[in-house]
Amino acid sequence: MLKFALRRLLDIVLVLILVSFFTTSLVNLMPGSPAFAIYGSSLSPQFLANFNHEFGLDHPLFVRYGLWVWHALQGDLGSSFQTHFSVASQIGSRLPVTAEIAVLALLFSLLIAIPVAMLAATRPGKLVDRMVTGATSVAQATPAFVAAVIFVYLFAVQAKWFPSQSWVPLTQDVGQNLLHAIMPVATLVLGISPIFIRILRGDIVSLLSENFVMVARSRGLPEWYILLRHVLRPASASLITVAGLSFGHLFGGSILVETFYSLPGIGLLASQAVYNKDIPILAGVVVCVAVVFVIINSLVDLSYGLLDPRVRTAR
Amino acid sequence: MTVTPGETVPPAVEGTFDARRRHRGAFRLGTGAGRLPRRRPKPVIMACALWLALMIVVAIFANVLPVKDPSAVIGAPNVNPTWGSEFLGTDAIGRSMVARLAFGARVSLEISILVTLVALVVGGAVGLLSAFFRGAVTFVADTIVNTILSVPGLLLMLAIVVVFHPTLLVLILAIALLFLPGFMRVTRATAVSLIERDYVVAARSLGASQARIIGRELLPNTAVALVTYAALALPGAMLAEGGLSYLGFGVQPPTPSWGQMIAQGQQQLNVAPWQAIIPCIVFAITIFALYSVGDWLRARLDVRGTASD
Repeated sequence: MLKFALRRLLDIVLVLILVSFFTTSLVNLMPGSPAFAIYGSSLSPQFLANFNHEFGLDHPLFVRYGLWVWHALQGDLGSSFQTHFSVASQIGSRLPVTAEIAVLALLFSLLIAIPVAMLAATRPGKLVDRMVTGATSVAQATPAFVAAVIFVYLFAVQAKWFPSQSWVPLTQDVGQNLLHAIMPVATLVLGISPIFIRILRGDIVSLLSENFVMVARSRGLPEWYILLRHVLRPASASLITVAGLSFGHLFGGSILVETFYSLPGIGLLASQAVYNKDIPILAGVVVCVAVVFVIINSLVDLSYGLLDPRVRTAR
Repeated sequence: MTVTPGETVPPAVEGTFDARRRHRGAFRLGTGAGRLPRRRPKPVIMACALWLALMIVVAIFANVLPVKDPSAVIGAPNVNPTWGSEFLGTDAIGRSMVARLAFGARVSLEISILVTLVALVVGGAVGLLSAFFRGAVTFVADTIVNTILSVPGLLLMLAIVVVFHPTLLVLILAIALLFLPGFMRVTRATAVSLIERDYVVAARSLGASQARIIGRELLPNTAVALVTYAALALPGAMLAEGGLSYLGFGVQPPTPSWGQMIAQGQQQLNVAPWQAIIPCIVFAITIFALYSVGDWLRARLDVRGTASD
């Protein structure tokens, strides 16, 4: 177990080194100095030299990487090419919006997926099951921005139930904040809940034919109790895996959703950084997201042992 | 080998091994000849296939079909769909929606097909090599794959288009990068299980070269797994392209693409909602059709445990 954990840790460190090296080398991949991309091609040599000096672009790649790592370990991710503000503080100030949307989306996806999957799995092949399967494949084929357009048209333009294109921070007004969050969250839920439903439905169907379910049934336990006590726990292992992996979906979706609904989150920060050719901001976002992703996946791996005693003894 | 009556001999290699045509056999529908009953596809699948055929025809013949120039202003802006000459209306500056959808289909299909091919070839090659040589090759391949997977796909693509101007080539390579890990893992998983098979051992003992074993023994037998995964990657690539061009980092105007049309139409949602809704519907139906046909294909090819879910 210890060997496994150490290997895992080594993998993580290696991956993070490669990711951060990739983001540092982005500037080198760019033809010419990034100053040209931002301020146009006619720059005075003095301006160019100042720009390159301010952002440390006059150092060779490996020196820059060393400096970047040294600063990043102290919580300094450099500063924006455009506004010269600190990247870390910009990411920090926008984190709550993205985190709120993502956590709410994950929560509601699970709240929807678990009962729906149980409903479908206990009646395999019946009308309910086929309707659920059909609905999930339609929802899965609907990308976030398509869902967003349709939601806004139906609920903001036609029905005028929810506001779109604006945001109220949680600290300012909780009710308004939640009202503004409904459509973005619903858009993300539409993207990830079908994945949960599919996986969970398949799991439950196969678990219901296991011997321990037969034993529980012969003991006369009610069906809902069997589902909750005997089936949900083993099924949750794969659900947690998918939930961990869906982080990628969730973040990718939040770039689209935040851009669409103009929410001041990390996703909007990233897409604006691309517009502005603001490489330090994008690099900071990539590294932060990679760190979170890697940590989540490691926690998912660790959780197998907690959920399923068989895994603990197998190792 | 003597067999007493009533005793069944277990097939050596799942009953599919036939020395004379094992290579061609890999491409057959179903792993065993005629093991799957031939079933006619469901009506939904047929409809999906028809839709895809329509999209492909439109994409290939977009410049021959009687549609207008997609970047020319042909009339009043924001015309809603009518049964007239422009039955899907015009966009915010009066360009023909039909023409833009048709040329958008070309971009979408072109990019997603080329992405799948690039990812299939590169990922397949890396997967085969890493299954065959293991050790250092596997370590390097795994590390690179883990690195790619540690950044959400859309963000990784953004990191590439921030540096390079999004030309067709850049887009194809950037999106292909997202699907490399999948192809690599599927190929390796299949190839690793093949290496222990008798015919590979036999080829080895006959003194076949490494290149021959990889190219003639392993490659043809991983084809089914690769094709199955490609059917999954194709709609994925189309989604990635759509997302990127929705954000404005896909193919650049004047070339139209579906994602771009949705982004532009979205600003007109109060005035002329069809401008956004029509490309949305077309895009969603195409993705749905690709997934459905891909699923059907996977069921027909009957490969287990190779796809991602």
